[in-house]
Amino acid sequence: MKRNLLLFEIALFLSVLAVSLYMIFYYAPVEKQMGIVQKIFYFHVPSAYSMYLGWILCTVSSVLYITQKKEKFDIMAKSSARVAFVFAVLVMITGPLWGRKAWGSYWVWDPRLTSALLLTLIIASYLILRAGEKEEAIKKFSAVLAVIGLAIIPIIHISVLKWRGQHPHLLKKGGLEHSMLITFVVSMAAFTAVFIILVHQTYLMEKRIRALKLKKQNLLLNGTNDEGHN
Amino acid sequence: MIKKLLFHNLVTLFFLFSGIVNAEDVYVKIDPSRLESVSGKYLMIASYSVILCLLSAYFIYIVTISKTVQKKLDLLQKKQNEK
Repeated sequence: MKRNLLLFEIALFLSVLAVSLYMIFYYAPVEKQMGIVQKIFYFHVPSAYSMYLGWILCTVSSVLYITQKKEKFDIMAKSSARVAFVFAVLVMITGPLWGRKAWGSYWVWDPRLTSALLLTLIIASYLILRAGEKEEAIKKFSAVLAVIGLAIIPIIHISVLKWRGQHPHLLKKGGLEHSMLITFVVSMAAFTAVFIILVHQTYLMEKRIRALKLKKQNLLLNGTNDEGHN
Repeated sequence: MIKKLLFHNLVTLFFLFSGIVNAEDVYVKIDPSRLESVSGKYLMIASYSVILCLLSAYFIYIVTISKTVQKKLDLLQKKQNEK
C-alpha cells in the first residue's frame, strides 16, 4: 500500500510538472513587451505561493502543537517549514533571473523583494533552531517563532500595493490574457500538487527518523536494565 | 546513490549559472541583434531547470532517507523479535 502510494506520488510529481512545462513552453503565448523571459512568471509566482502555503501550514501546526501538545503537529510544522524553505530558495533564484532581464540587475532593494528575503531568512533561522530538537523548550520556542514569523506574509503581499517598488503586480482584473491565465492556473495547480507530495514525504521521513531514535533509546534502556538485573 | 544524484544536480546548476552569466557577453560579441531573444531564452530555461533540479533533488533526498530509516527500523524490530 505504502509502495503504491509512493509510486503514485512519483507519477503525479512528474506528470504535473510535465503538463505545466508543456503549457508554459507551447500553449502560453510570448508576451509582447518582455518577450520570452516573461514565462518565468509561470513558475516564479507558484513557487512564492507554495512558500507562503508552507509557512502558513507551519504556523497552524505550531499553534496546534502549543495548544494540544501532540507530536504529529510538531512533525508537520517542521516538515512544512522544510518544504517552504525549498520553495523560498526557488523564489530567490528565479526572481533575480527575471529581474536581470526586466530591470537590468539581479537584485534591487524593492519592498517586496526585501520582505521575501526576510521571510526566507526567518524560515532558515527556524530550521537552524530545529536542528537541536532534543529539548521540549526548543520545540516550543520554534513554534512561537513560526507564529510570529507569519506576520511577514501580509507585509510581502501588500508591499506592492502600499509602497511604490519595481516589482510588478499582474494579478489584477484583466491583467492576463485568457491563454496566459489558463497556463498560470495550471502551473498553480501543479505546484500545489508538488507541494502536497513534498510535505507528505517529508512528514513520513521525519516520523520514521523519530521512531528510529525512540526505538534506539528504548533498546539502550532495556539493555542497561537487563545488565542491571544480571 | 543519493550523493551521486545530488552531485549531478549541483554540477548541472553550476553549468547553467555559468551559462547564464556568460551568455549575454558572448552573444554581444557574436551578434548584438540576437541578444534580446537568446539571453531571454537562456534565463527562462535556466529558471525552469533550476526548479526541476532542486525539486527532484529534494524529492530523491527525502524518499531515500525515508527508505533507509525504514530499513533500519525493520532491522531493529527483527532483532527485537529474535530476542
